[in-house]
Amino acid sequence: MDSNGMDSSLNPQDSNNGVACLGGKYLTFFLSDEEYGIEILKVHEIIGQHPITRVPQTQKYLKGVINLRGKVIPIVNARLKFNMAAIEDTNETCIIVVNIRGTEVGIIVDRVSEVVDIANEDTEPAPSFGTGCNTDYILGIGKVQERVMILLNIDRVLLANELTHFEELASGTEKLTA
Amino acid sequence: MPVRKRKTKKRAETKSLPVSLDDVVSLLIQIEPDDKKKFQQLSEGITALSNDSSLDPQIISLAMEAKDRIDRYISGEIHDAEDVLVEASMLLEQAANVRDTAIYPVGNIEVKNQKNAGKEKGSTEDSPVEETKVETAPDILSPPENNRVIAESEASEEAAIQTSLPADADHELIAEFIMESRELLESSETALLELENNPEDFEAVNTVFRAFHTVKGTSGFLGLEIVSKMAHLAESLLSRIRNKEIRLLGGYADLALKSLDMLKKVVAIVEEALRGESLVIPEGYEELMGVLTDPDAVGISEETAETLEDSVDLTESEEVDIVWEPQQDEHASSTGSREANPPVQKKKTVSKRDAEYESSIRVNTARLDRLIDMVGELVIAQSMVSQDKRLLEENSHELLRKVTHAGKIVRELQDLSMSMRMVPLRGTFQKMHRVARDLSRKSGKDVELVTDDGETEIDRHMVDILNDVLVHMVRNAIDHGVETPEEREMAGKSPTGTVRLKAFHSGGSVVVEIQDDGRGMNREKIFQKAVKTEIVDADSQLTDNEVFNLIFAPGLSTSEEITDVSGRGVGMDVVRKGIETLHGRIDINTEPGIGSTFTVRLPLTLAITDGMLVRVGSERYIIPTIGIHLCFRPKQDALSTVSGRGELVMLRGDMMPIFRLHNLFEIESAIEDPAQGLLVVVGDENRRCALLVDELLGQQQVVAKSLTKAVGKVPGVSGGAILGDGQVGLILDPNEVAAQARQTHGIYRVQTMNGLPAA
Repeated sequence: MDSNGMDSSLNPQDSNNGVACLGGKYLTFFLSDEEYGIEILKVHEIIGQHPITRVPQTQKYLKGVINLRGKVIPIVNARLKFNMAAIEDTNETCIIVVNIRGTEVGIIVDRVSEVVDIANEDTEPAPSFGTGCNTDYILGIGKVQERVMILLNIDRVLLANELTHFEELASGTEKLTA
Repeated sequence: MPVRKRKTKKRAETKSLPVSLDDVVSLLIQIEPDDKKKFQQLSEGITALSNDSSLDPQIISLAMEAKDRIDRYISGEIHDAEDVLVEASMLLEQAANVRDTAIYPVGNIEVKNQKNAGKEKGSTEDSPVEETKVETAPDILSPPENNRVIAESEASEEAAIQTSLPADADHELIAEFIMESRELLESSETALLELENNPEDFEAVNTVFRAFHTVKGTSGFLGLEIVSKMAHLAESLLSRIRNKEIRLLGGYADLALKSLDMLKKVVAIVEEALRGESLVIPEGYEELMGVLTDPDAVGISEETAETLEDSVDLTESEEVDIVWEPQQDEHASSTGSREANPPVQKKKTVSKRDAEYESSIRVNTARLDRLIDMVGELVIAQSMVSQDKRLLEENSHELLRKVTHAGKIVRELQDLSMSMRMVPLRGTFQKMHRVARDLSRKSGKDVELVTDDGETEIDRHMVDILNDVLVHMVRNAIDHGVETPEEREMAGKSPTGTVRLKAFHSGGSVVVEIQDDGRGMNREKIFQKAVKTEIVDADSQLTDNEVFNLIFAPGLSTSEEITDVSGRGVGMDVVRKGIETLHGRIDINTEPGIGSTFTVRLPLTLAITDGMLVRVGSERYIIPTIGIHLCFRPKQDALSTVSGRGELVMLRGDMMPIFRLHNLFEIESAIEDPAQGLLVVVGDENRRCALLVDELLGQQQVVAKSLTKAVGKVPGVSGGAILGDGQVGLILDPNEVAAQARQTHGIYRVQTMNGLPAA
């Protein structure tokens, strides 16, 4: 069952079909008072705040890049990514480094909570809010005791928009001003 | 080589035959001159071979002759391992040829032996000799059914070539074969081109012959029929040249190069097949096979039909044995035991190369890159230690001395690791000869490409891109630069055009220069064309340089018609992009009627960037030193504003636009007044511009890391680097920044001269 869950997450194209097994271990974190979960196997490490180098002319939610032991990795602000208001850093603010298809990406979150084990029967497929709200990046909803958390398809969250955006940028620079 | 051995053993089991001729040959190829144990093995192998009664007696006698030499070397009777190897391989090659004649009945193989060479070409399958040989053949060559396939298909004149790799294919071995073949084919291309200029160069003939032979042998051994058949026919052609029946001129030269190309193609196809694709017979394969089978029948000749010169008589075939040597050992050739051969100089360089090759090992490039990366990190980590404040504060001289010492070692390590990735440009230049040759034939122009020795080294990673760039530049020089022989004569020039290609180091960068003595660039023609293709407005006032740079614009070509050589306006665009990727610069110098010179300036390596650290507000950026012309603080009266077109600065009589980095990158609290800050002059020769920064923080070498994987392509930023304090700094691409700034100029806020917003 666990491995099934893994498979679906490795392949985000068919991971939000709802019927996939979502049970497993999740690292949960908070953005304001909403709780989110990331599959634990996607998480590389959790680091404190780092000096971030801003990269100009990129999306607002891309805070910049940091030096993670010699590697340059991008840092995404989860609040901005989810269209929430930005807040000042607190001493609980930290960066979750996840591994997306071999690339490490850091995500700034308000607070890291815990690692929970969610049984498959405690999960539900992503709800549909109609056309106005894209739920592609949600694997499903998990319930632990009385808490409800949003299980993120982190690949989708970080890749989907980025890719198209980068392609736009790339094609933009192709044009030569004579 | 355990892998190969396993294979041999497997065959031995299925065939109950201890050794085959192929095994012996492959053993011989791998042998090191000073490895007596291997010689012993070889000798034993041949003994085993001679016990095989199914073999042609001629093969056995040849093999035994080879064994005799080897034994005499083992017993110490002969001292020169080289000689022995040469003779033995010649003999075994002959033996293989005897066998091959039997296996491939159609290919008219010329065995050195005059008797055989005189035999009817393409003797049919019904010849009694052939028939018996075909019957014995299955015992010699790999899977018996394969032989039958060959025999049958040849008989029905329709090649039923495999469409997939053999079921029992050893992928590891095939991968090794692909790598080896590539190298061999490359070296034979060089040799072929050399041979065309100097048909008497038997050294080169043998290089090519050996390469084809090895490819044939190994591919046959691996069951890669598609390769072995082609290699076999190509080898036959070469063997005719070696036997002085024909010379590598005109049609034969083309044919040899064509078969070389085809071999490259099929090797590439095999590589794809390794990845699971099916084996597709490339276009033209069958035709080429047909032509190669009997080139004379389809009218291929030396074109410049001459009989062999008097000086070249048949006795020289004896000399072939002398001239041919594996040249693995420089010392052997310098002992003077052998007569000096005419192409002494050439041979020396060849043997030097081989010696280099011999003493090298193959390393996975990913590992090497990782090593270089790690050394780069080490350099930074070391500088972090040495710049630590505590180190300076504590006043501990002993500690400081140790840190400095470590720093020296680290720097040396860095130099060393960088040099590991450097390769000479020789190979690239050699490829250009081929491009020039083909193109001059196609375009009917008489062009000579003169290159230097190509000893200048450059980062391996850059070679491929540079290769593409140079191909297009050579094509451009020949197609657009050099005139036809008639035009040249009318202009009072020698009918043969010359294109010179050279590379040298200059001021920490590599300069590649390509110079033609053609007609030069026609300003008017380029401008008209650019107007026509709507790249510039008809009323634009452009300097000469600006006009000449238009040739790099995509879609612009001065060719009147589109040919398969040029006219689509793609080539120079590729050049521009390639040079941009390499962080280089190109300058054009042209004089009508005299010729053009393109100068490409490239950094030594892409891994380490020599950069200037600049500060803009709270941000720091690295601008590659190669892209900076100069930095200066302008006087207030040198600044001017052009309404709607932004700011300009006057520098030594030249006006250039000022672009504010802080505006472009939206940085707050940066210096707004150019007279307070600093202007960094960047950009191509004729499109210079000044970037406004706050201050220079100093020069620094940084290890460039790609950001593309992390954040995608960021306009104006070519990469990231870890600075001395451990933070990431962005490396700017000045040209891109400038291009970007020009683009956004329309929405640019115009600033007044004193830096305050105009409105």
